[in-house]
Amino acid sequence: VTVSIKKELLDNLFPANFFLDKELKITSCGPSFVRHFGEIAPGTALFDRFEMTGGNDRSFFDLPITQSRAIYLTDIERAERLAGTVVPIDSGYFMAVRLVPTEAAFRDHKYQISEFPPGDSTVQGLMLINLQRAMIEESQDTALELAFERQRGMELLDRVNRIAGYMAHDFNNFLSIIKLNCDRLSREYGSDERLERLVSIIRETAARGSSITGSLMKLSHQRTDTQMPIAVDQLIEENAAFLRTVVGANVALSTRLEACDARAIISHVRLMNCLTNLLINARDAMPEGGEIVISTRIEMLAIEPGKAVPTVPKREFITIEVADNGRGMTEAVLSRAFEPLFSTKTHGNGFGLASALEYAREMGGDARLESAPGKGSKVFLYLPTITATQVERQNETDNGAPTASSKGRILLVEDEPYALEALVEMLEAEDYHVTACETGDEALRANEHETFDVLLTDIIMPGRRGTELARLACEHNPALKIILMSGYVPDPSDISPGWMFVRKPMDSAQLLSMIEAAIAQGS
Amino acid sequence: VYGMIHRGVRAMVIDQLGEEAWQATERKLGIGPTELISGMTYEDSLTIEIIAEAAARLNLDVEDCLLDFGRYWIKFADRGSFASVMDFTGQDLPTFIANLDRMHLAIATAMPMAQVPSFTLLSSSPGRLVVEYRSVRTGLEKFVIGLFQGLMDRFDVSGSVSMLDQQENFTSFEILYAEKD
Repeated sequence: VTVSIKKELLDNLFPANFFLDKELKITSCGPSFVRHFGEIAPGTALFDRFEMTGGNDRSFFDLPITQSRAIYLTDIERAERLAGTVVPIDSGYFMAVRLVPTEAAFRDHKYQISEFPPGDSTVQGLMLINLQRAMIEESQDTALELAFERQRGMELLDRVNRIAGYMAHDFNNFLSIIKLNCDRLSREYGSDERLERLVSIIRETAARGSSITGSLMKLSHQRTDTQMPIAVDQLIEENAAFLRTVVGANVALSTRLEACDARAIISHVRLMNCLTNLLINARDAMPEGGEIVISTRIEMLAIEPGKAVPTVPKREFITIEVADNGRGMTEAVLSRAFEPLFSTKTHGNGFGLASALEYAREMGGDARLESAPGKGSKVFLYLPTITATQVERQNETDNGAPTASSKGRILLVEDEPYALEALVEMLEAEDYHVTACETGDEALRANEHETFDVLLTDIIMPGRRGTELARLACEHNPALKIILMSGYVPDPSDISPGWMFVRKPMDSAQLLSMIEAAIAQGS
Repeated sequence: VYGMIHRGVRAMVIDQLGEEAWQATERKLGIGPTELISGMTYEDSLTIEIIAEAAARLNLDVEDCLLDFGRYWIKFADRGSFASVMDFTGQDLPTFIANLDRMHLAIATAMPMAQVPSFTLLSSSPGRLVVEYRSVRTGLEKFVIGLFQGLMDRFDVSGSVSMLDQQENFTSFEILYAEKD
């Protein structure tokens, strides 16, 4: 019993133990030793199976009975290592050794905890390393899941946005029909007070509905602006108070507006955004305060974006100049100033000038920058005037000449029959000659046989979209003026410079003034 | 508990009922990937809620679901990132159980919020083990039985697990096992 208890204790404390006789032959082995090195036949010489670090030296074992000595062994067959102590005993030596784990052996699942003595730091070390690896793998999985979830969330949001956009479009179409027919009723029966009151209730309710669709469009990240002839000077004057708040109290803002009534076909909202960005840039260039001047003028210029030497003839442009007397830019900064994401400001996002350039070019113009260190900066925005977009009108054929009584010829395309009917009636009441079509193809055929002044078309229609129709119609008749209408605001890249856009539900007066401007442009 | 337990429950539900069932569980409980982060600790009550919902979907009572989950947990740990830790703990049933406390000690060092249980091998003879289980958590005896069954699966032995004694502070289990034919 005593021997077995002792052996159990030894096996627990030093699981890789073994015994040697005085001839250094192995006599018995502990459990872990057997597991790793297999059953070693009693009588096997130590140095036939193991190499001693520092050389196989028998004299190493010449120890007094009360002394022990550290030993390091390597298994010749399996390259496993042992570290431990030689303890001389009466019958020979007790080898209290432990495994020295290798990465490869661990990977091959050769070890288990109980092969290491209690308190052996190897166990803790190996476990921590492996737990850490496991946790890293788990973290990677989790990170991927979270990223996937985020992507799924964004896709869902995108889907919701698109649905909101479709709903807004369809709803705007219905509201447009309601509004146009209200106008019809007013025109026809406006003298009847009771009826006019009912019409105004319907119109007001439609306007409320329109604000809801506006929210839906914002939710779907759509722009809600209209692209129409705008007198730039008037716009700046009307918004001067707001623009002053943008530059703050430290900076004096003055205007010198000399473009008079010249108009450009532009988006009100986007021009204001553009001016706001330019003013913020100018303000930030003058932290100690200074002066900004917004000036406008008409200039005859040959502008061809991206070309130093334009090959196009000179045209009339409204030049908007935003000048500051701030610290100015070095040549290096100036050369990169229009690059998206380029900014010298700590919290700048580098979109201000880049978006101004993009906007000006989308409107058929360009932007330019002058600056020098200590001499302030000047940004020039060039926007083509309505007359600049005028294209030589083709020789009118007999069948294309406006009738004596009409103010102009309009090719009207609208797939909603009620809206079409109301628009035809309104335009004819205003003395326009109207050719009404329900599809793009029908309109293209009409455009081949007759010369029109204006193409007034819906955008989203079955078959050919209004923007595609406009492009094809202009190829046939370059003098044709384009007015797009839709409950959905198209991407700016879909609208060519000089085209107008009106968002449904439309205001009849606004639409008529756009048509009038378009006809005036072509005459 | 650490989120890896939640991941284990999810794997079990998906294995047995499919992805849709787990998504429905997430929707019902209002949870998502943020409740499944391995290295995060969550309230026990949330874990119980998840297991209870899983039980309902698996058409089990919570106790039986805990037993199934215990058994599944061994499979889950063994096939995932923790496989090397499992191998290091032991390569046969008695050794594994005898080393559980040392494994848990290392886990507790690496994951300081872990409230690990204690397993003491009271007796080990061929085909029979008696194990004492202690934990600050209560009511998880079925889960422990499932764990032992899972370990028997892991080491390819068959047998039974029963509770020998249950006191306020500990529960002892008897595991009878034999090599599979």
